[in-house]
Amino acid sequence: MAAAPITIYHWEPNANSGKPMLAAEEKGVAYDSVYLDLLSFDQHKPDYLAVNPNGTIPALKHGSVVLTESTPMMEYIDEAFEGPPLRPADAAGRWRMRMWMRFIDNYMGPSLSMIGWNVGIGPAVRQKDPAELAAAIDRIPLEARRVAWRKAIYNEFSEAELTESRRRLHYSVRLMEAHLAKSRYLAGDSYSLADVDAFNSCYGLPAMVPEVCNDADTPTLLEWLRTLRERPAVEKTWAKSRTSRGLRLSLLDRPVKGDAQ
Amino acid sequence: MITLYHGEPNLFALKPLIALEEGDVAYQSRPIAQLPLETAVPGYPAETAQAINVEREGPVLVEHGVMITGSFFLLEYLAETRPELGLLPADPLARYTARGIGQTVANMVAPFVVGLGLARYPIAGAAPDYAGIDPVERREAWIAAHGSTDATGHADRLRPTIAKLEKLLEAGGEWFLCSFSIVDIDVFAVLRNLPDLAPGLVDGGDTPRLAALLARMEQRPSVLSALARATHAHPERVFAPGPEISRWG
Repeated sequence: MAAAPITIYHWEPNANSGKPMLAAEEKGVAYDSVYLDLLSFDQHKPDYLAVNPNGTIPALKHGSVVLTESTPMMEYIDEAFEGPPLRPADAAGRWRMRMWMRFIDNYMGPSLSMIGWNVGIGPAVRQKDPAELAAAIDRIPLEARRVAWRKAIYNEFSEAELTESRRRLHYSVRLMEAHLAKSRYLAGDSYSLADVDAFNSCYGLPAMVPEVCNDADTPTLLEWLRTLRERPAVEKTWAKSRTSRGLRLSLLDRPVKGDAQ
Repeated sequence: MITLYHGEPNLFALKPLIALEEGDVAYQSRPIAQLPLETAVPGYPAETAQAINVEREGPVLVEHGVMITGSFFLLEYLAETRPELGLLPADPLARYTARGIGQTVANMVAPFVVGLGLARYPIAGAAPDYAGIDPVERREAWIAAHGSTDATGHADRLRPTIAKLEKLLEAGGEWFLCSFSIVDIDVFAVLRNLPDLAPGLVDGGDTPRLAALLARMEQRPSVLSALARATHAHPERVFAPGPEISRWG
């Protein structure tokens, strides 16, 4: 089964889409990349719904099997293929990895994405024809995703929701800074899927929340981000970016000595 | 030796009790009342990995000095450290399926069940100030659990996920995976209260396979042993705050 071809259907290497892409690169697993333009609603078109009827991205096709949950998908990649291990060798370490992934996916990520969708995806999509947008929303298979897209498109995030998201994001950033001062990687001494998961959500933090994520206040978090950014697998994964979103990666480039101040 | 801090055998606390009773696993049971983990478990949180259990979902399993939290991850930990229990197949695809269902139950089912449970059976007595619970929204959740809460619409929001779980059972045999596993424990523990909290949702004609699974599980020796740990006449009515409903709506 491991020899069967792999296809990853994804948008930008960012948040959920980037998780299986980066995990596969780290593992040394070759895959066919199918880029879906989220802002053109490619994920709700018949071609892709034939792959994943829920219309969510990413999806990973391995032989005849289709996987659609991004975090369990990463553990699948690590378990099903040869290559460098991406999970701690001991059960307690794997538990720590899973706790971090849940924290990123359920606590930090939704706050980040609410802010991101409000300032990025919402305004970008809102330029389209209103009738076309309404039809696009109607085609979304999952009710929860219809709700999310409505909020983004029609700017329905309340100030209270955004304030709460910012508060949770600031809390998360401070917590990560304190943790990484004691631990080289999120789940311990070795790089793991927790770092893969978190990097996909956090690489844009210095641009998104510079008031809390900066060299003065979070030097350790930034060092962790820069170290991860230098990994060859990150370079290869972000090379698949087709929008300016991928340029945020360059914000993590280390300043060259002698650069003008 | 494992030490397990757990509430009444209900919902999250029920899961490891069943798993431990599936085999000859020695453990010390430390029943805790309806108290936040910070109050009930000495030294909690001991490391960041517990601090990021922001939903403070109990129970807590302590082994080799490490506090394992998060009820589904705790089941995975037991399955991985005690493969002789046979609670998780080795096949990567089966494991993916297990983790996917665990995620669905944690995110799409448990928050609504907890909401329904606390609305029907709030924590008795006036709320203390719960100082020391961090982050702040968790403290607010504990305070709110002592009063009247609204669970209108929760049953309706559960319906699509329940249908999805029923469909997953249609594809296989009597268990979610090829054999009895942590998935069956996970789903059973979270759905067990629904016939009381939301009649018709899993005990009506729409979910015959889920209803049969719940009935089978009720007769399983490990479940009977786990339920015998109760100190309350109605453990199925004892709830504490758990995962929150997605803020995205």
